[in-house]
Amino acid sequence: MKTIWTLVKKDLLRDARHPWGLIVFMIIPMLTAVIISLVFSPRGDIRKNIQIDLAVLDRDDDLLSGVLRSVAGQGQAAENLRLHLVETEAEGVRLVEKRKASAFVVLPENLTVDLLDNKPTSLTLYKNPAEAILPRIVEEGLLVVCIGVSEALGLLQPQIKGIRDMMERDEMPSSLEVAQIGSSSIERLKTVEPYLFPPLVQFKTIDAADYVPTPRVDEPVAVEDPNS
Amino acid sequence: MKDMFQAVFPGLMLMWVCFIANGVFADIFEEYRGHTISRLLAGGVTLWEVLLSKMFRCLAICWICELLLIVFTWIVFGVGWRHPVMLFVVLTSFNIFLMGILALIYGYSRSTELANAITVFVFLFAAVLGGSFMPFNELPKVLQAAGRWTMIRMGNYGMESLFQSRAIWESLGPSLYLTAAGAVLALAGTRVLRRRFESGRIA
Repeated sequence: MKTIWTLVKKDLLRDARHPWGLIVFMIIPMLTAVIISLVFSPRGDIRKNIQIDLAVLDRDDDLLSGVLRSVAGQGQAAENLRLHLVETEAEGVRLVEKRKASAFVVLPENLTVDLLDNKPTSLTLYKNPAEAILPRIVEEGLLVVCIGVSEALGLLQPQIKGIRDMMERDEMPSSLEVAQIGSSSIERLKTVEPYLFPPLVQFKTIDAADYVPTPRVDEPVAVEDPNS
Repeated sequence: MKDMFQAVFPGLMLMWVCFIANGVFADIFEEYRGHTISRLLAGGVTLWEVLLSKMFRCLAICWICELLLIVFTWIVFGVGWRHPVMLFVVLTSFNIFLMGILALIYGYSRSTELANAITVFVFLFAAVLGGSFMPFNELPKVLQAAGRWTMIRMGNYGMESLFQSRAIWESLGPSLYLTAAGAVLALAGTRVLRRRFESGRIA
């Protein structure tokens, strides 16, 4: 064993005199790991960098389609969504084909009137087949908007109808009329306040390190017998 | 970036330790050709002792490289290495298996060039399947099933278990397998190498 130790010591001393080969070999995994980490790490600025080009053909040109268009220009949507208003369907399709838009939405004629008259209507969505994720985001977003608009109309249909009638008139609406609509809208909104402000279901992102697993629903839970 | 670095680095470290060990192991043949081993034998050292000393040297260099890489990445990149004793066990078992497989490949190859080519192929194959280039869980299921049996995945899994504070057995299980298999391979490989050196069949 002593001989083996002597031989090992001799070799290791010789290696220590020429360590550069080993050092280069040790640098390579670190460099590779740094490059892989830089390429694949989630980036903090990615949320700001996402830009969805959406072509819109507004055939309705009424109150609700105007609201839908203005929603796209507010808050987070304004940072990530760029609307291209087109005049014809062919123009919208051409934008998608030229890859200048991720999706193309057609707001149909009489959208506002139909919705206020409780008639079913439908939006048309063209997705850019050359892209995978952004058209999907538009589709999901549009689905959320459709559900939101349907529910909001169910709740505030008489008030929205009133606002639209006021806008269509040439004369200024009376203060009493405006106050009535405002007051009835608030009353209607109060009925859903416990569910929406704050929302019952909330989405929250946390770091993996902060995650504390909660017990599964089907796990047995000790229940006290009220009769005992 | 730190999380990604921590996920990728252990696999890359193990892969490059394989290549470092390969270079160090090949020195035996250089010394044989340079008659260093003949002079040692003439001085009363047995061939068995020479071969064992070379394997221990290789093992020591692997340990030193791993230690330097661990300390450096801990200080510079803040990699959260945990349980130093278990980490030593995991890396030692990996190194023992590495010695075994190198001894066997160099023992059976007709020339050092062929041995070099085979080891590069084996190590790269094990590295790709073992998750050195990308997180193992991202690999397709078929590749994961095959990669689970590679030395790099077993070593990597041991370190992953330590990172995630899993039960000790989870990192100890693959390590025991690597140690046992490595010891058998090293024993067989050393016997083959000894026979080759004794017969003088070194290309």
